[in-house]
Amino acid sequence: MTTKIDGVQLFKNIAQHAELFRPIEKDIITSASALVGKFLKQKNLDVEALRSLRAAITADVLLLTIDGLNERDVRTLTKKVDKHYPDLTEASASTLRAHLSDLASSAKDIHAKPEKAGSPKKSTNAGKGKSAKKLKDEAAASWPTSMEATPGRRRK
Amino acid sequence: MAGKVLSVVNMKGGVGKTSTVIALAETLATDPACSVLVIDVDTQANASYCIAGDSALTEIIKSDKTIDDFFYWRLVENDRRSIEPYINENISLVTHLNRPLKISLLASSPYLRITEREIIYNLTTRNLSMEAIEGRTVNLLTPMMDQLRQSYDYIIFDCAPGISAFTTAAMMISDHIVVPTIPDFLSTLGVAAFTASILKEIRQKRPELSANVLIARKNNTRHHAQYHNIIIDKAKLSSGTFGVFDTVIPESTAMAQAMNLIDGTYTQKYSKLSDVLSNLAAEIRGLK
Repeated sequence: MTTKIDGVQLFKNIAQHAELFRPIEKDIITSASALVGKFLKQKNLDVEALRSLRAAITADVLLLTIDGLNERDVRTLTKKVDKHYPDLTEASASTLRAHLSDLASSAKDIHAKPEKAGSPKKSTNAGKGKSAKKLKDEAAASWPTSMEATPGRRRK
Repeated sequence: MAGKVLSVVNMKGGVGKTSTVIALAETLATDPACSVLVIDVDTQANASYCIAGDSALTEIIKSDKTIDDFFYWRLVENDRRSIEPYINENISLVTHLNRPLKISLLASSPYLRITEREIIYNLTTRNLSMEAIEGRTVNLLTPMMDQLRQSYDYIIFDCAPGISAFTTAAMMISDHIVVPTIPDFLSTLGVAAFTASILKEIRQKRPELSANVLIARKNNTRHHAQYHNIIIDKAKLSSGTFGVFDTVIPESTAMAQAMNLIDGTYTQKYSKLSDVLSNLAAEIRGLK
């Protein structure tokens, strides 16, 4: 007697009877997306796994999933699959997304370990909350200065 | 290419005009073949802010690349400058599948209201009536719009609440009018007043102009369901004066949060609303 659900077989069966599940299509999208997201959050994910995932779920679905990750998750994922990415804390999220896409499509390869490793860096605040300075900068940036800007014609 | 021109209009404020403009522009632009121009004629400049971001908009205003400056020189000073240098090409910071959305912007600024007043004072002292001022604005924009239609698939005007001379002109040169409204008592009063007065008047001059109400910020209350039905019934009885989009934008904090995200990805902005927005975009594409 079955005492345990075979998840993979269950997904196959659901896929084979897609029409039956049409009324809960939204839930299927949510569940399937969550699985892909979870796959990307595995601790030991590497670039080969990322490439295999792309091949399995198609490039567009992988890109949509990466588009849906927040900035912190994008940095974590980049660090996982490309440990020696040189610009991890400074690069914008969109640069990292593009890099992940290039890695997944094999358009780029991961960075090699720098030959002369300097003294180990002190841990930064990246990914662990924002520094006081950054928070201050963001608070200043949140005031809409454009609403106070005076057109050139009116300054004359 | 002959782009469609849409005006997003409602006399009432707070019904979701700017959110509709931004979400619609960004959804249409997820198609890599589609380019969108947003023209902000709202003095609050919220659409400009949401598309360009604070620092870019500050530069645009300081360097006089706004629609108020354009209107001032063309309508008050009779200068012959063209509209193109005022358009900030592909300014969106939002990406989709690693590609920036192709959204260009003709920005507004909080000075638009003052400029509009200056134009009206100036032209009325030359014995021009309000109707003549609106006519002049329409005559100014019509040939430009014919030119811009060749460069963009969609041109979307974000109009100010209330009806200004610029809003009237925008409606006069549009192919379609989108009227976002909340299905509640006060907002329905606003739609009734708008369709019975302004829209009626404009349709006398432009009978081919289509107008559709977009139910936005609808919640699950009976009150909203009742007013939604009232608007649909009224549209059926309006002999084609206006219709109602099938798509309904639900009341959701996700939309307010999306407006807050100036950069990032389309998926991050609208993940919870992507189905609804893609249905709305399909309806807009289908407008004839």
